[in-house]
Amino acid sequence: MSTRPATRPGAVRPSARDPVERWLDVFIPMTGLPRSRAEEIRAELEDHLRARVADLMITGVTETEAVQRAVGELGETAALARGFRTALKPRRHIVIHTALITTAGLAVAFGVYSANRPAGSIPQAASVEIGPGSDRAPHDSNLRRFDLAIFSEAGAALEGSVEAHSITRAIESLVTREVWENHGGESTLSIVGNTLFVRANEQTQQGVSWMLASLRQDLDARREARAAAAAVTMRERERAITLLSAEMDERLKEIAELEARLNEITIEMHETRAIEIRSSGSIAGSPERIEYEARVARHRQLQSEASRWRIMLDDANAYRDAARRQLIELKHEPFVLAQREIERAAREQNLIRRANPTSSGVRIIDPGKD
Amino acid sequence: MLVLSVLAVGPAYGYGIGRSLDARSDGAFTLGPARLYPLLARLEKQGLVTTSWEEVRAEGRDEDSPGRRRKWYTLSPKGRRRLAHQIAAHRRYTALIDAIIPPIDPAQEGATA
Repeated sequence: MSTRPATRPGAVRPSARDPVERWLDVFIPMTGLPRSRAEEIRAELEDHLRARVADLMITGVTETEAVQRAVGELGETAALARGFRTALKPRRHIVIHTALITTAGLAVAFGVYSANRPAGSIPQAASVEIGPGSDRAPHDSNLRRFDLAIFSEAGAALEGSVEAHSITRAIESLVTREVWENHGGESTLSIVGNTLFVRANEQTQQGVSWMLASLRQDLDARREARAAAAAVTMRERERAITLLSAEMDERLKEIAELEARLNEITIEMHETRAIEIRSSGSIAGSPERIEYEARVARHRQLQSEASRWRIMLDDANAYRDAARRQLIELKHEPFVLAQREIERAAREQNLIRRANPTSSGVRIIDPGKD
Repeated sequence: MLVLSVLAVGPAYGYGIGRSLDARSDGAFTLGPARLYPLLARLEKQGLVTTSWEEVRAEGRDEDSPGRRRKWYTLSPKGRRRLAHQIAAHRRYTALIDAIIPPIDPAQEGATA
């Protein structure tokens, strides 16, 4: 006979948090939204789920089934999180366009300054140093090249892109405007691949260099902000995974305990059955029979508890898988976004070409032997 | 337009909006929560609805236990203008279609003649 006590309160009990709260614990970090907004969504979805569960239970459905159905109606967790993110997050713009707008104001100031002072009279201290990523052609002191790779996303060539068009237009409009060929001057510029070639005097070269440096500063700041935001989102996702893994461990322990108890009960049932067979003459109302029936009822009760826990285990597995999928998707997000940017730039480039078939916005020059 | 139309009648909360749409269309329009809540978030962001919170006590819960929060949506003046605009566009569209399609089904007309 087993020495197990007749009752073991608390041995098999649901987690302290109910299924709705557990689902929300998993879902909310997946939205990746700021805490205050996420808390509002949590409260609203909790209200929805509880109201829905109450409605379903009126129709005679058990609470467990009602919760499962209500959560199921919310659809795929990752898709719902994406729905909120899309609805609430600001739209992404091409980074460089914003940077150009910021820089344009400064460039106007530089252009005015350059135009108003006599050529070659820049004091050394005020001159803009032409930084790394640019060098002078050996055969032509007025021809210089600038490396623009930093402005291209995911290694795509800048040449022919909307960004290239914007950079050349901004330089021609804002840096000593009158020197450029299309404004009646003699200076030219063009982007080939990720290199900007500029044929102009030293003063204009400095203006171009200054403008590119300003653009780059702005771009760096924006990229850093984007990376920081992505890191926060990533941490939130990882927290969700940790939380789920902990819950899974807890569930597995509980299941193991439950199964062990079922085994004990089964052994007891066999023992009781043996007693019953031995005392087959005193079937109805005999103490052996009463004990046997109590054991059978208990066994059924435990089996039902075990299946309930298995369902909850399946739920936890599903939540964890959804969070994992989300994590994988997030890890790939930078590549997906870069790809989308490239496709968008290509579409916009086609529009520009269609609008102005004689010029792609970029003139090609022969850089000579360079 | 449909959600704004429900709110034109009076303030409502998410689950109530879904049920109202379902009931008013005799089940023809079912806007599931997966689409409804992100849509409401977008309407709020666009300033077409204003929101407020109410404490709701769940039935059968302990009196001392804290209730849950319910978010109510109200059509804003901007939302009302947008709805009027959408309704006008919808009326123009249906009028245009009505002007093109025959008044009654020709096949049916043949059958009754």
